[in-house]
Amino acid sequence: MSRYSLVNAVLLVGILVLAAFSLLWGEHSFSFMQSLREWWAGQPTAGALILGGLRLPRVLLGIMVGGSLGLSGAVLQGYLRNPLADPGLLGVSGGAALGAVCVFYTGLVQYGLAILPLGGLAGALVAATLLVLLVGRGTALVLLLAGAALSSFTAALTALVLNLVPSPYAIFEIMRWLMGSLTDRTMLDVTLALPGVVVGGGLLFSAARALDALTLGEDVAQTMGFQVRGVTGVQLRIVIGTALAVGSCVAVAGAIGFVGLIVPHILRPVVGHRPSCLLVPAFLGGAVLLLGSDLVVRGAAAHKELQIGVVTALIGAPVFFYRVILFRKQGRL
Amino acid sequence: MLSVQGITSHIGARPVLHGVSAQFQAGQLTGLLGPNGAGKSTLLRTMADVLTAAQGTVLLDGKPLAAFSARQKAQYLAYIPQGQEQVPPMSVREVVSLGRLPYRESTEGAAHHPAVTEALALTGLTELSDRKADQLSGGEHARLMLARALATQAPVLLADEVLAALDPAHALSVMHLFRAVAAQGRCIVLVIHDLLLATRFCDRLLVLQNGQVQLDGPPVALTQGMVQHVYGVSTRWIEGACVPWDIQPA
Repeated sequence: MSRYSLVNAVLLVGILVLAAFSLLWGEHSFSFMQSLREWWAGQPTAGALILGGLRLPRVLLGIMVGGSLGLSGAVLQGYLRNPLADPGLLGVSGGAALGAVCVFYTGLVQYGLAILPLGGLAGALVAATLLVLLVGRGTALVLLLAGAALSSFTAALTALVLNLVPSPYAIFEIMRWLMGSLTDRTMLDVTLALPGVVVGGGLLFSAARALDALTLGEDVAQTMGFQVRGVTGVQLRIVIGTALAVGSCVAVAGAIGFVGLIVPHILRPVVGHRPSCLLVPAFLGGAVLLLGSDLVVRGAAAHKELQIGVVTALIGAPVFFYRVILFRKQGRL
Repeated sequence: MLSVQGITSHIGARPVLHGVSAQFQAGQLTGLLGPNGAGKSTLLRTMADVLTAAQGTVLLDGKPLAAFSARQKAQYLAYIPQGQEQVPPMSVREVVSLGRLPYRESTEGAAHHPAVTEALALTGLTELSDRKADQLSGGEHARLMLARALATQAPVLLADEVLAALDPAHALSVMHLFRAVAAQGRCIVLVIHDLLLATRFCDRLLVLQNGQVQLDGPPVALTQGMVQHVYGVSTRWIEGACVPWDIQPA
């Protein structure tokens, strides 16, 4: 078995173990198989409600959100050839956060469970459209600059909305949401995020070979048959893929930082620096990190409710410090 | 095999090439010469389909480039750009195997393809095949880029100043390698500044000045007057090779 297959197998086992633990662990004990059958049959038993209504969406979202963030981080770091690239860099997460914050501000949030994620999705799509129009046929540097401009702009607008919110309680709710969470999510959130994650993830995975070619520069990639810019170019695929996958995830789970940034850094020493070889492990690794972080959140919930974005940042920052020290020792910084 | 007809090109508003026409044959090593800014790299990038000419056509086996799919072109033309592209710390074999990307082979299959092993051997990189690409010297890096292009097994090889970072021994070995590859029937177009190596090793020289062809012929056609006119230097011919001697404005 190659090292690549071994890493993927280990990560997959990690996901299965964490998912099983997340589904089975909790204050209420029940028969897993029986509750699953009851949930599937639509019977409103306590076990079915806890498993299907609370724990299963949490696990599924953990895999989808963590996987999407890890995957898009790996793709963006490969494409921009910048180890600091992260899904938040393009401004789409900021757009999704702004959309959701506007839903809070306008009070629309009270009209249904789907309104908040739909607001986030709308914000992500508006931001992605602006980004595509701004970048046009520009280079990766233009994409980086346009993303930074859009991120700053959406952050400023979010701060403005927070300034205008009249109720301190609403500000608290918004801030809590912005820190990211998988708590109290339902299958409706899974259903809303799934199309964006599947289509966006597919677009990101389809860029794998082009990312390999781009390690030799844009000119060589083009002569190898990979169009980089333009309507059929890999750049547009990456922007739309990230916008759909990450935008959908932020819309349902809030802005969870550090996953997209650190997962590729953790995995590169194990699977190597070829961009295409990092994509599947980054998806699986992101899912492992988020499922693990969510278990920490649940474990700490008895004492004080933590937001998952806080946990990922607390795990991510030390890993990043370690990578910085390692880079310096290797003389690469 | 490869020809350009009436290529006119601009970079921004600045005209770079003015109606350049030339033919490049299989089995020939052609040196593309000219002072800085003459349009050599622009012509090479146009032939590689990286740039689109304002006017004129690039033909492959008599058919315009547009008639080929991106993958067909990628299998037909291998291009080595100017300068040292910073490669991620992949192994030398991995980087060379990127040359197989136009064939859409699996990563494992490409890494152990006979063309990759042969390219490593031809460029003297077999011993270094497990070393990280970012730990190579300038000369080794140039050979790595050459090996990557050779692994594509493309009939046409376009190389832009690959000798720039090489010491005399490595420069000579790369020129011998180009000769050997041309002898296999491949068409090689090489942007080169070294007049001595160009006149010694190339079958044909295409000299550009201000975007126009000044000479298209065998190395012996490169007269002292022509070099003085194009480069502003005097030359001496020593055993069939042109050696730049001193600055002598035209």
